Amino acid sequence: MRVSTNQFYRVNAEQMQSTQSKVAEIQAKLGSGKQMLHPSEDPGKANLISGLLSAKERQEVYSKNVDAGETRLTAESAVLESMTSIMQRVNQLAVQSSNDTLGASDRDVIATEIKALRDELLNLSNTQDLGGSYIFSGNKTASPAFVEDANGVVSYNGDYGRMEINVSDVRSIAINTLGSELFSAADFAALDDLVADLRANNGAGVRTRLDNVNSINDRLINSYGAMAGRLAAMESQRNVIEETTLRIDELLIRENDLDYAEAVTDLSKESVALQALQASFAKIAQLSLFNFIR
Amino acid sequence: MVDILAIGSGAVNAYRQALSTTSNNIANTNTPGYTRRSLSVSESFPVQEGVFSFGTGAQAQSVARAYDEFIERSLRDATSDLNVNEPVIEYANRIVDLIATESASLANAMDDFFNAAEQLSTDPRSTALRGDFLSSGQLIAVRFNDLSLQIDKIAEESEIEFRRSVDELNALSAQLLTVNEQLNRKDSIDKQPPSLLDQRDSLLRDMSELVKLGVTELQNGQVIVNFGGSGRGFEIVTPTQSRPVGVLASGKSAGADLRLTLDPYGVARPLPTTPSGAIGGALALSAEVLRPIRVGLDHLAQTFAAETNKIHRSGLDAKGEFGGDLFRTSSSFVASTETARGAVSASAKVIDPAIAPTEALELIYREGSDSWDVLDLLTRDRLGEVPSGVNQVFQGMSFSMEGAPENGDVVIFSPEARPSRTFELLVKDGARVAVSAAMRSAPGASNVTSTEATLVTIAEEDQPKGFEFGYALNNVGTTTSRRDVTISADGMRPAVQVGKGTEGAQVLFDIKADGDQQIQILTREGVHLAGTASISVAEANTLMSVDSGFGDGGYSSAYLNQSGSAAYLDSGIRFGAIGKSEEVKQLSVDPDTGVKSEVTVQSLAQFSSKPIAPTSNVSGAPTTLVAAGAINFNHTYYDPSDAAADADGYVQASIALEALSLANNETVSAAFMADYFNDQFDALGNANVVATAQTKVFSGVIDATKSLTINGTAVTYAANAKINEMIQAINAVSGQTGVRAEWNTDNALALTNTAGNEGNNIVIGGDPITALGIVPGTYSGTYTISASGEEVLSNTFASGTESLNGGNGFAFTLTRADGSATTINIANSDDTPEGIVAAINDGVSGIAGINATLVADGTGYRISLHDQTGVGNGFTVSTDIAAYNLDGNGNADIDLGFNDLNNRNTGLNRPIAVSLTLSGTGSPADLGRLGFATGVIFDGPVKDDLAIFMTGTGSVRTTLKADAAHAQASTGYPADTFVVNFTSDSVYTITDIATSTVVATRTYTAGDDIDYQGIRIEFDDIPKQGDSFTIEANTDGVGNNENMLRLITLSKEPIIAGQTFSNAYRDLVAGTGSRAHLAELSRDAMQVVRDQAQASREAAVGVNLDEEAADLIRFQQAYQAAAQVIQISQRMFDTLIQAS
Repeated sequence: MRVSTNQFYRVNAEQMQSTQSKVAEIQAKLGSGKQMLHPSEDPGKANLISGLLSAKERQEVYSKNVDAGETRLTAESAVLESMTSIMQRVNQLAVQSSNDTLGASDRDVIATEIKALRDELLNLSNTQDLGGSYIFSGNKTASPAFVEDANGVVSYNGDYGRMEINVSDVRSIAINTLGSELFSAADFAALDDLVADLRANNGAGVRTRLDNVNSINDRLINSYGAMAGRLAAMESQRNVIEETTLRIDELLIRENDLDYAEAVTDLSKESVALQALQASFAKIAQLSLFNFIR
Repeated sequence: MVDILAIGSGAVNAYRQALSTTSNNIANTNTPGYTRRSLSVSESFPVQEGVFSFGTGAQAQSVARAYDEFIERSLRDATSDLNVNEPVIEYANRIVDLIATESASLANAMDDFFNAAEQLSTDPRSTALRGDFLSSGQLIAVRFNDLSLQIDKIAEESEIEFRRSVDELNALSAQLLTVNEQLNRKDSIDKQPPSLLDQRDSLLRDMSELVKLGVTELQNGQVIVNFGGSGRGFEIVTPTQSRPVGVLASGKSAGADLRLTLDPYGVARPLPTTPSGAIGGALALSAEVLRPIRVGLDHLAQTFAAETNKIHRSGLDAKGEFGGDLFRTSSSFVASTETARGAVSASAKVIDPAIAPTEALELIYREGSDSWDVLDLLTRDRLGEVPSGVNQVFQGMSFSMEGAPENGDVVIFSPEARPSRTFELLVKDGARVAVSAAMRSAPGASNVTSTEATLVTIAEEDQPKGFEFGYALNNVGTTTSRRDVTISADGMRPAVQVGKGTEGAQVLFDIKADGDQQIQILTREGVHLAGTASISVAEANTLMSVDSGFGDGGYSSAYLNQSGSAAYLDSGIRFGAIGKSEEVKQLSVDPDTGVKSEVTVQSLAQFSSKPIAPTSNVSGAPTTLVAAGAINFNHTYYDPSDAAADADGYVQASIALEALSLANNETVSAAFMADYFNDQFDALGNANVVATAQTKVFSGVIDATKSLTINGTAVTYAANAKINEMIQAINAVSGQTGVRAEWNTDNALALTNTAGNEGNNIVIGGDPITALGIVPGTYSGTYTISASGEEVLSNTFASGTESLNGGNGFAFTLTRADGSATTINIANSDDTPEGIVAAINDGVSGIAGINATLVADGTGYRISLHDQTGVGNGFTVSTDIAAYNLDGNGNADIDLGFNDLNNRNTGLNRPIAVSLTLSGTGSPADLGRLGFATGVIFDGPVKDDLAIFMTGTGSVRTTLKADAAHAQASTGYPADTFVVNFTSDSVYTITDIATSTVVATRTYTAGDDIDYQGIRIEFDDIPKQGDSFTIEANTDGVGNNENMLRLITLSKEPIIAGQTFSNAYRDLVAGTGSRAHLAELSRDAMQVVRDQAQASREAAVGVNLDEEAADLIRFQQAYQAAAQVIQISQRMFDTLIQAS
């Protein structure tokens, strides 16, 4: 085929340009460490990376949610432990005082202690978190869980709202224990009656309260168990989140990060090609019949 | 003989020319558009010498231009097809880089938004997290606005480039025309100067970069150029003219809806939309890249705002108030009527941004249907049609198309404000973020199980759809009233359905005196609210069997026909006729100034019957028309002092009507009815309630040649009597007939009863068509029951005969609200309460329109004044009394206490409503016999979705009416508070807390959820008998995060074409990217084709310097040889000279 001089120069120039741009692109990628410099190079891949990044962020949010949940449940745990030990002490005192060998003054001392413990229980059930929210009030977190009226009658003041938080795309865990699960108004009344019976030195009355004290104890232990179960669920969910994040990271590295070995090889390959092109062009361009017309 | 010298010189000449051609080739090696030329040399004509023929040398024939039409054409086409891809690649990639970059991506912003919601859900009371949530919402708004702006900028650039391309094409066309004109001088292409043809081809190649060309070459090298390829008939250049190409773009957005038109200032014709080349590329960019991305972004903005708003509105904020809209988008359209021939004025408003179109619309007028076809401007998809006229609603838009359009007129609506550009965050205060759910559940204190209930809002589309059958009556939409609907008695399907919350609902069944139809009203849960006849449970179940709108509730008659607090949701329903005193606005014109003003007056409480059926009793014995106790009359008025008054001070006095019987040979008339009612009203003990009757007969066309008798008396008149003479003739016998005639505005005359005969039937006799143009017969009237009378009270007097002014007379003045005053004189020794009452009531010297009575009040008496001229006409009283009730300064109490606020219960005795209602024993036919339709009377707004059934036979004309459409339709959520009670393990009731009304009784299958009022109650265990759950407003549940959790689920739901929000956005990226990718693939393929075409062309016409060098040597050698020939010839000549 006939090659016009123009055509020769043009083809060479175009080829050199395209090889040069390839070299420049590989160089830029080496500089950025990414497989893609612009999303337009592969929008599908850009979407994939965007989706992976969003999934990763979501996991981070779940991780923060787990943190928040654990903080909350740990706080509950501490309070429930105190409550349990208080009730154990109450139980101990009640059993002790049910024995009629105790005199009126002994019972009076015990009554004073149980009254104090009962007040402490009421205080604990109105525990607030760092943000000032009452933790046992259900969703009525701005109001104390239990209120005591002028006559000393205690009643549940919260609602029955479970505070659930998402810890994965499909799983949510409740982070609050309802005050109504811990105590009923009757429990405080029973403790008050116990105190009254002790003050009155009514041994038979004291003995009838033992069941009440036991049932409060049982309820607290059950609630503690339920709470601990949620805490454990949080912990296991944290592992799941970490694993998921790791998996996403791996995918991100595969999709996003540049394979340096491959890129460097490509660079030298293209450089060699460019050099060859330049050398051959310089040589061939010198060939002209006019050189021989003397 | 052969002339060697001539041969030599000819050859030298030819090779000199060849050398110059070659030199020219070398010189033009780099000249664009230059085609290689060569000299064609041929043998000269030979000469005959004897038997031999000798050549005479060679001579140059022509300078040939290397040219191959086929190669040129393929190069042009390949160029066009290559260039079509460039704009798409360049701009689509820019858009992808813009929208897919992490820092600008909406997918990221939306993920951030939902992530912020997640965080907020862990601590609803945190001000910081609420702020973060709003910031992330603001970020979405900014991203939407920014993307829209950036895309507009890209579009703007592409449009500028596009317009430049079109301008360039037009310039090239003009140049080509010049070339064509020069080519016109020669008749053959061979004779044309090669440089001119080079110029022609060069122009064509340049044009082909812009658009694909169809080129037809004529004999002399002139060309005809077709836009968009050959055979499409859009000639832009001919041998004699060039036609410009114009750009059409619609509206405000750059690069939107670009179109081309041929010869825009001449005979304009739309050009093909896919002309290839750079121009075709720009069109493809506009239609296939810019438009989808804009539509997609706008749709995303609309849907995102609508969906998040829906949830946000249903939740409660930190202040316990309902959340408003979180985001707002708006869009607007501008109309262009330039191309319409008729005088058209057009405008359109977007009323529902969530569903309104976002792209330009074309409306084409169709004269036949007087409507406008609505098309998408670019895709030409027909979307529907809008009738001419004001405020025609179509797809979330309201069109006003007025004026006098001609058939086929086109109006274009282009988008001005776009949803993505106007997207904004409305909530700025973190406390106003609705994090909490509106409702919560609480287990009953004495629940037997510890089952916990969770509430879920049922999505609108999953909620029950309401009744299938019956005319719908509500405050929604434009048709809130229907007259004269004929409804067949059908005990299977609802005849009318009334929506919950409907205000001013009126349903009037015109059931006749002999009708057997009965009315029954049920709720969707099967609670029987009202009925005109008792029905069995089986019959009730039949009523509910067909329409699928009924819920799961079982039939209950607990609230049947109850009123007051015993009624369903404390709102009773009665059947009958009612007249209410209402405020009505009237226009009044000041007679002096002509100034119009609107005044509010209180209408009378009254209602009127239809014309009474003039039934006659010829049975020989009295007959009972309506049984005793079938119908109650009720009168409601204001009197808080009455022991029977309700909390608001209203008294309802009711009487059961006694039997209505008709004596033998008597005929029912309006007067008969009015008399009956006035007798009954005596039992009411209230002079303000009266029944008045009137009979009025309107004549048709007067024809005095016919005869006429009225009530048996012949009326005499001349055969050519006019209306006025006819009136005189009738009135001449009024004494006998008890009937008088009067002018009636338009149609001739009207007959009425004379004074004292009001309401009597008028019996018309005479020719089959009487002189009055009506047929003989008994014409009956109507009667009206009305209540009036506002009462004003005096001080309490010790007795009726107490002297108030020491036995002296005094003047008593009553001044009305309009300033008119009436003074009467109380005579000496008449200065007692009784004397004052008698003086006021005196028919001659008393005060007209005022009725005074002495009423016992506690230990004494008061004077009560009733103004009978109308309700609300207040008045004051003054006297010149001197001795009554002196105060510390010796001043008398001159108003006798009438003006004292303590005495004056403003509006006392003011009638509120009068009504006739069916008692338990009455039926609609009883009302029919009294001349009334059976209306369904609701106390206030309708409390629930109701189905109104009509049983019996035949059909009844019915009127439906409700208040005009409200701004807000009633919503099912938040629900009223209610309690679910498990009365057994398998049956539960739902009780409205506010009214203690059991609104539903349903069977329960263990494990099922309970749906009511848009709320689904889910149980974590199986509730048992004795369990109850209260569903109440979540007023102080500030720690509740359920609304946020609902919002978060939006991020996971497939909302836009089966995609989540962020994936729908990523789809936009992918769609744009794949369009660019497609263009890249096509470009790569076309690049090869173009390169080959170029190589072919270069091979054919390009200059190769080596080749030219060789030619140079060749021609030089030939030239030298030819020179030698001349030298030889010279020598031969010299030889000959020397030899001689």
